[in-house]
Amino acid sequence: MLFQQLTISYECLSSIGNSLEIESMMSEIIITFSRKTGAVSGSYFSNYNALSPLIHIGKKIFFDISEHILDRNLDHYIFYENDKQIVVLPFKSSYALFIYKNKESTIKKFASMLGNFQHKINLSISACEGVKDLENLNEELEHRVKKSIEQIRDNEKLLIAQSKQAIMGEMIEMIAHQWRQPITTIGMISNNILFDIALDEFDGEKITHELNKVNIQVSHLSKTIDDFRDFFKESKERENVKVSELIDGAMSIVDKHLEKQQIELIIHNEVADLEFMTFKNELIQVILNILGNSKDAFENRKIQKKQITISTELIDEKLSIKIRDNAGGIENSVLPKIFEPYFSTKKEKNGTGLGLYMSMIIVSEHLCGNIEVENSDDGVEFKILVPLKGVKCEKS
Amino acid sequence: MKSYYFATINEFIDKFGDKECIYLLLIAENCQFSHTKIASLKAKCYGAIFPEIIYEKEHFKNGIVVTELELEPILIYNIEAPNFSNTNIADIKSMLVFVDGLSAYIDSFLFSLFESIDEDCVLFGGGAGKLTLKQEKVIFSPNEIVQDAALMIALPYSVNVGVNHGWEFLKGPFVATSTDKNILKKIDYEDAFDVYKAVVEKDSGVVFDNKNFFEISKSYPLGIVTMEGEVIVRDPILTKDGELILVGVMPQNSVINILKGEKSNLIEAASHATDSAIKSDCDLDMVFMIDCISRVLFLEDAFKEEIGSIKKKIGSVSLVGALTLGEIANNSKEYIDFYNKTCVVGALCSFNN
Repeated sequence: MLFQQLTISYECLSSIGNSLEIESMMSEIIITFSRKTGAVSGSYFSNYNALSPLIHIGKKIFFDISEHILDRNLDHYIFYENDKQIVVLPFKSSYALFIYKNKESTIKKFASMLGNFQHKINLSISACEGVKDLENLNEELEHRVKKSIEQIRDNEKLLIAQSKQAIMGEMIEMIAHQWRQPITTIGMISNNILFDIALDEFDGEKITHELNKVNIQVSHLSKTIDDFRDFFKESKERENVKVSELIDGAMSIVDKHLEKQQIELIIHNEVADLEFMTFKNELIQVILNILGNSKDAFENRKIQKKQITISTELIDEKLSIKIRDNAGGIENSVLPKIFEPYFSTKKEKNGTGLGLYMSMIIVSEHLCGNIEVENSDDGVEFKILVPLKGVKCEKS
Repeated sequence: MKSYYFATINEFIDKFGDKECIYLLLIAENCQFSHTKIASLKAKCYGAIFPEIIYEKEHFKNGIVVTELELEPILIYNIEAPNFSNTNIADIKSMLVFVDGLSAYIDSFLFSLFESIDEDCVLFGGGAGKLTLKQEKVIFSPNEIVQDAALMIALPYSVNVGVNHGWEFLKGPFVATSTDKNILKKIDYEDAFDVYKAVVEKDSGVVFDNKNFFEISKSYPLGIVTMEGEVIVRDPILTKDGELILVGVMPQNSVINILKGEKSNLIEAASHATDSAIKSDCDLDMVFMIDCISRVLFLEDAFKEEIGSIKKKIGSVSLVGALTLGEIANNSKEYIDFYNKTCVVGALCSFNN
């Protein structure tokens, strides 16, 4: 008999604490205890006020448990209902209940044996609850990290918008340059026509010719507006773009401005016809940011022959765009910081410090490429590398 | 209830096929049985296929034992998730249950069955199937024959059940330290077969080779120790990769013994089971003998003595039954256990109103 009791004790004990999930752990305990001790049912109530058990096996509970006083200070107690014996094992905030039939002679021994496991079960329940708390905390942390990442993404979008707005002022100046010549031309033609009318030298054929010239200038003005408007559109989807369209797109916005500053622009577009999927306007924005930086650098220094060279080539299935100037370069101490947000050496010019930071974000996180900068002999060289394949960026 | 033995299915059909009655057919594995033959009969036939069947003093590898039923049996199709909702199972006081003996879901089925039956219900039965040990469709109703199924036959009798096996302690205790349902992987943290082999080879003097596992193991079952001192027998039928494949589940951390049989003890056990089943106030109408096929394989010709020991106790009362793959017996005081290598005797007593 002692051997049998030890055997059952061992088997019951072995069923405790085999899972860190409370339902699974208590389920194994309830099943093992019930079967090994010959109960007709076993139940686990997750708290003292629960109306129905969290776990139940075997015959239905046939009485109202709330009518019985549940004494939490005992390791077990027994009460009787007709031919049934009911053993209650109270835990810290929950309890198990086993119903036996016709076991009057052995019930006290069973109950005492099960009562011996109370402390171990309490510890196991605490462990499960601890794990559950940790899981909840992890879940909450995960949620918070996700929310933070979303916030960062929103901030990036805002920064891109801010960056675009920051260069909008410069753009207006560029538009003014682009428009000055055609408007002057239109004004001259208009004056000539008015002058001819005043002298009564109205010649229909000549006017038609002059008005055609006006139309050409108006078309030019319209195209300028289209170029700028396109640039301010947000690129939501990647589009198929030729490298030449990128370079021409940037040039159409900035060339007159550079011309005014007497900056010579040299373009070596070796892969002009290469087509690839990208966010066109964002990549143009990066090129404009770098060109803007070069232009500002030239303003601060007296350089005789100002030059900016843009060269493109294909390197290991990546598009390489190098933008090099001869504006004297960047101080070595400053160089590592130039892609940091709100870092600017142009405070007096209302530099926002966002241009190159946004360029880095756009290239690395939107275009899945990378951007580098280094000083050359007489200036600085930015190198943009954008993969032609694989649209999913690896983000840290 | 009246019972009959027929050597062939055609003999049964000729005699009872046109009768609008309900019949329980216990069919021996070697019988040329085709479900289509009984599907179109006026007689409603429910039943199962077993390795052998029992009728009076004999056991047969061929033929059919037919019993007239008063109540229509209930066929449960999917014992993995049994649905008792459209049955009157909760009202049944006595029941004969046959389950697919090679199903992986017997334990969970018996669990669900226990939860659903009346708390005073007495039931007994066994596992259907063939000695090929390949799971097939072996349980049938008039409409179909299915596997992973169970057949529940309500009995309009007061039923007493006796259970005994006669296997005795050889070596133990051991702990089943790793199990998966009916697979015993480790005994005392070592490969189960290695531990089992060492004990059995030493006692039997026979060495296991690639072909003789069941030939030896049929004499050395395992016993799970229970609180009441009862031992639930588990039959190792195969070995693979150091593991033992059993008939019936072995819960992890069960304390087990290796058992050994003496022919005389097994025969005596059947007699004891009959004594437990036949109560003095019982107006005995019929007796069912559900016995494990592996006892026949162990006792061989002496198995007739086991049947004889029961028949001797019940006299002229009709004895029918089956040699099964696992046995069931329960009086609703505890969960329903699935036994192996055990003799279950169900005595059907007329109600004394």
